[in-house]
Amino acid sequence: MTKRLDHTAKAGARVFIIDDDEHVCKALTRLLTASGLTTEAFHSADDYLRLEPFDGIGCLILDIRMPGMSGTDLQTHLNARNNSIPVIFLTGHGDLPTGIEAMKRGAVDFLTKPVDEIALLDAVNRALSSSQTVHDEKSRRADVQARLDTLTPRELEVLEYIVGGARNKQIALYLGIHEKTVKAHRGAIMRKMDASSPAEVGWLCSLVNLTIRK
Amino acid sequence: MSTLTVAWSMCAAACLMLALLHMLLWLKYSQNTVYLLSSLTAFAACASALLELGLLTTQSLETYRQLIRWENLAIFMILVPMVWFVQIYFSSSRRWLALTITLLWSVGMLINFVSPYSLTFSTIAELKQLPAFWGELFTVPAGTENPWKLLADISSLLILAYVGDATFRSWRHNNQREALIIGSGILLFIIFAGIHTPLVDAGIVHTPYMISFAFLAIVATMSYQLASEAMRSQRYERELQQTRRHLDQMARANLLGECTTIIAHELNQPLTAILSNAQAARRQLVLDSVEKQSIIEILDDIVRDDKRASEIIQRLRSMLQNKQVVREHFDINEAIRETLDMLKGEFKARSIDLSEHYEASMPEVYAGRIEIQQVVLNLLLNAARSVSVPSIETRMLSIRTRNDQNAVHVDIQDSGTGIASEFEGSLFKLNSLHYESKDGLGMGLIICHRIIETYGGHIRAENVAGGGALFSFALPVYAGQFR
Repeated sequence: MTKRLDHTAKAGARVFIIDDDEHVCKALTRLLTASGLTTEAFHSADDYLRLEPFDGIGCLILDIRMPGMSGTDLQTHLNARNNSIPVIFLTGHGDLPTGIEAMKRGAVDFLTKPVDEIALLDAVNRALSSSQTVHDEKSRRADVQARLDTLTPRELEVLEYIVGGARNKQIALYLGIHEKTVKAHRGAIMRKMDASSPAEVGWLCSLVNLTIRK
Repeated sequence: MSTLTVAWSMCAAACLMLALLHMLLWLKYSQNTVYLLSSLTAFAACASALLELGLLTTQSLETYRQLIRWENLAIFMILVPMVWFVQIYFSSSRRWLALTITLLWSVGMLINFVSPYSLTFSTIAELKQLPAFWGELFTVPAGTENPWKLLADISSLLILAYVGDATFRSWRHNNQREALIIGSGILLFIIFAGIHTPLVDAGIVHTPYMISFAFLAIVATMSYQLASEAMRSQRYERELQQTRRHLDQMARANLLGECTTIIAHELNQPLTAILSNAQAARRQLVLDSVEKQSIIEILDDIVRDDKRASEIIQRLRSMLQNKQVVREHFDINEAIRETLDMLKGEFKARSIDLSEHYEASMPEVYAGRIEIQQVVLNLLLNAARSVSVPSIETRMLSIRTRNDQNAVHVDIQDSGTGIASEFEGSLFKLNSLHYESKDGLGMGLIICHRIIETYGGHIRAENVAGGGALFSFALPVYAGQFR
């Protein structure tokens, strides 16, 4: 079941249409705009790549056969750059092998022209909610990272032991400091990380890359 | 009327009829020399029959002397073409023997005309009248044999050896039927004539010379064989034509299929635009704040895309219609542009770089316009296919027209894979057709070849240094067609 987008997310989302036929671009733009979406059209994959990498919530509606870089080439290119923007293929050449290949490489959908609005909007909704999930994850991760950045080097060390499951006494022993000092560090960590239990700290740290010491 | 006159005249008439028949066949298939040779043999056999009739009925020594000379010439004219007929017909026979026989007989003819009493006799003392078995009297000479007649006898023996040898070889080469009919037919009747004539000469057998009948039999044998062959070859030709028609249909279907795919892809664009525009308009109308101008714009776009779609279909229809080909004067540049219109979208989608060079003042050609467009279409599709291979990096395709005094030329060059060496030089020939070719490429080219040749033009293909292939065709320009 498709997760419904909340209104604000849909309003901020952008749909990029990439098709070498300007009339098709125009018509799709009209349709999506009338459905309350913000769109931007490009006549070639290269034109799209000239744009600053987009890291908001959005998706691509991508033709396959175009002069210059093809749609599938663009998908491969974006994958190689860890660009996670969801891709919907919209093509007049909907042959099965190409479709399977595109889906394997992570396309949200593989639609054939001419496309009905229901199918298109459904695919766009799915793409945008997947984009939103990715986006949320990313911002949460950035948030955790920001909190971690406020820790002192010593606090970070202690945190690494805490996540590894060590008790205060053991940490004091490992670091050659007093147990009371460890307790003080722990208090500071819980406060700075805005966590109420070691388990929550552990969960937050699982979102980012952190060395775990045992 | 005398039986001699009737019988020999009929023999001559039969020979003449066959001679004319063979001459007709030769005029029709002039590349086939056997018909000319058999016709010559038959004409000479006719002459021989008439001369023989003269010899049998004359009572004047002087006439006899003249006639026998000409009779010898007639025999020469029968035997030499017959030998060469065998030579051509059974290509495995010994050429030097045929040459020797011709030479010996030629010398014999020289002697025939310089010696006082022909090659046969050195003197003729008198003419005797002998009764045939039905009672009629016929003339027989009495005289001394010319020692040079040995020459004719030797070459007669050589002919036997030659034909026998040719027959045997042909038999071994699995041409039993031909060997049996032609070879043994000729052998049998030569032996008959060769035995019978000396016996008459020597006065042992009391019948007239019957050489003419032997020759008639030989000519009839040749006719029988040639006629049955002509019939068979006609049947083959009919079959070949049927095969060609069938291939034509297949090639057309192939082309149709390919074009339909392209057209379907092209049609998808306007159809997509129309559908999305219509659905967008509907959504806008549902909104309260609908702008009239916006709806008008959408409807205009829908109309434009609909026209675009119908133009695409129109192009396909005019390109592939199956109607009777009409020969007309037309501008080749324009015909090519129309064909390209259909393919440009496809080329663009395949990232093929197309360059066009049209010579400005081209004379008009006189041909089937649609057929020539099909040729161009075929060649362009082939070129596009050959550059669309992943291993090809630069996808270039150029079409150029030019003209010289006699012809307009169209060159289509690509940067593709080129022509595989095993097909180079035989690309347009039916026997090189690779039926298993996955896209009917070979077939399309054979049809192109046929179409271009129909209009007196020619087509060729070659590989280009640095990769790719060049296909060119030329169509003749007739005088007074410049505009």
